[in-house]
Amino acid sequence: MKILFAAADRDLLECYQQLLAGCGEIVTAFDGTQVLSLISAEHFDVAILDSVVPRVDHKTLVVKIREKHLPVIVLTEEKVSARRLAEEALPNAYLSYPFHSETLIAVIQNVLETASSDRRLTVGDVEVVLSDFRIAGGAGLTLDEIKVLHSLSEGKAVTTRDGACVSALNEKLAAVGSATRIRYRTKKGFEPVTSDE
Amino acid sequence: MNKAEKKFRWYAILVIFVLLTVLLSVINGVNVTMAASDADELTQMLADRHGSFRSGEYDPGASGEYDPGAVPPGESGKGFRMGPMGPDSPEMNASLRYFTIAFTQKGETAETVAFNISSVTEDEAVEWASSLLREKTGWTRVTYRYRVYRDHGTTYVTVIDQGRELLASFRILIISAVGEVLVLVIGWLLLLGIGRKIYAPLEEADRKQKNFIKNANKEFRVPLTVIDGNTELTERKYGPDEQTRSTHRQIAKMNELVDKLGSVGIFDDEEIARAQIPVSEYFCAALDREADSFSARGVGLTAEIAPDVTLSADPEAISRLFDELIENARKYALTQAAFALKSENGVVVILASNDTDLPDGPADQAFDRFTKLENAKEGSTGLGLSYVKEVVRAHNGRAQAAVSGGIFTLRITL
Repeated sequence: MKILFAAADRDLLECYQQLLAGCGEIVTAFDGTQVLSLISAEHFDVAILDSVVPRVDHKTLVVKIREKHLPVIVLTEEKVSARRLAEEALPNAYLSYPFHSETLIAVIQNVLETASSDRRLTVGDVEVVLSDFRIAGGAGLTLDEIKVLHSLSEGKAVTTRDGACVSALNEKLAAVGSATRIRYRTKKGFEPVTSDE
Repeated sequence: MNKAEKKFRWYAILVIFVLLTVLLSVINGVNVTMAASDADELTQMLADRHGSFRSGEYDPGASGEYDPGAVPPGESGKGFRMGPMGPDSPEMNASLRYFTIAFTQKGETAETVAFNISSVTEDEAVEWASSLLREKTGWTRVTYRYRVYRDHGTTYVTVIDQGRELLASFRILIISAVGEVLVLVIGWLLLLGIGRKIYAPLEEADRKQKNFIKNANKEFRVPLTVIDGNTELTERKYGPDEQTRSTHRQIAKMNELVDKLGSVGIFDDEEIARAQIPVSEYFCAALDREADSFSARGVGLTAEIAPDVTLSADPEAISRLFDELIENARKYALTQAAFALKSENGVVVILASNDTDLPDGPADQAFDRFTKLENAKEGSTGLGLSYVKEVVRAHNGRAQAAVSGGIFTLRITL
């Protein structure tokens, strides 16, 4: 596996180059132009991108990386809001600093598993294309959102603490014209509810 | 504009309004009372003379000239001030508009004792006076003061016109009202400037504090990740020991602090993203998640959540608000914690309470940033409830904290 890790902090790059060594080859970049030249020259399995990388605007970088069908994990200094999750040009996953290496490794594995999956999930009246991180014909999804939908599709209890995730999902379901919403049922947790109308 | 500044301005203008109104009410009230007292003095003087300046009982002096030192006769004559403009003076005799009608005991016949007024005819005066026979003294037809008195089987009704005197009082009243409005307008304009002067530095200090916290918080996050990562690398090389474990524990504490600091001032820069959310469901979900942790601490948990209550609010913020309320109760409850959510007249009321050893009284300081109450636990940051307050303020709600009878209660209305 080949991982592109881009961040402005060189100590972070050095540290995680060693911590992730067990996962595969780690290629580091500390500015946006390096990222762009690397993704056009080499093949990567996943890109890890700090939310602020010098020289190239963050959104442009995410779009360019995803154009290469390369999953992107964005490392952010802030809690990710529902508003941000609802934006377009989504990365495949967010991870807020500070985090532990095991968490990042788990996210990488989950992102790669999802990206390589040929499965489709059905939740209520919508279909989710896993490899695309996308509701069929609709908005992009993050890994956390996919995890919620995955559990719901298998009828498993979802007790996410992440209200932003559920709110953003409901907005995305509404955006594709779905009659399905995720609602909380006391003692049962979150469930998909599809109205008859 | 800062809400505190607006509040200050409204309170200040309210104080000015109340003080001015009290002052002007006293001035005008005293003025009207004095006008009535002056009128009563005059009617009493006339009563002492059986209703007329020209009753013949008052001799201005042996010479027939006006004598400022002379004391008038009569039962209540004492105390009248004498002088060219006093009530008992030739000027008053000439200028006072009045009439006195005398009635026999049975009220059958009436006699005009004095008539020095042009706004009514004598016949009207008799009719007017007879309508007052059962009274004693007071105002009639707004500006006329009357007095009814008896002497040797005859009842006298004296009515004096105080229109000019009352007009002066009325003018003072109008001037007072206009003056008050002007003072309020000028006061408001001054408060606009003063409020800015007072609050601009406070706002600036608050903004700087929040910015510092936000920036510092961001700046801490990456180094914490690196320190944690390097500690892990050290452990991989040399194996874990007490020092690396201690470093991990301290990093975990810092991570928690950083996480809480991340929510300071989060609603300052942008409008909250409102959506119609099922708050009953959210609260139940949060309580369900944490139920086990209460029993693990040996704390009894009760909840009365009204079903199907919805609220237009930021879903993320409200979720977190519930988490903070629950965490606070779990942390500080001695043996019991109780939660309630209900809808009252379109307002969502949330109550979170727990038994406590804090003394009775208001405890709103619990909402202040970095403030810890006397029962603070080790590791508490003083930020959980300050986040609650920020969420409530961003939603134009109200948050109160108080201890009563050994129960600490947070009451939130949204």
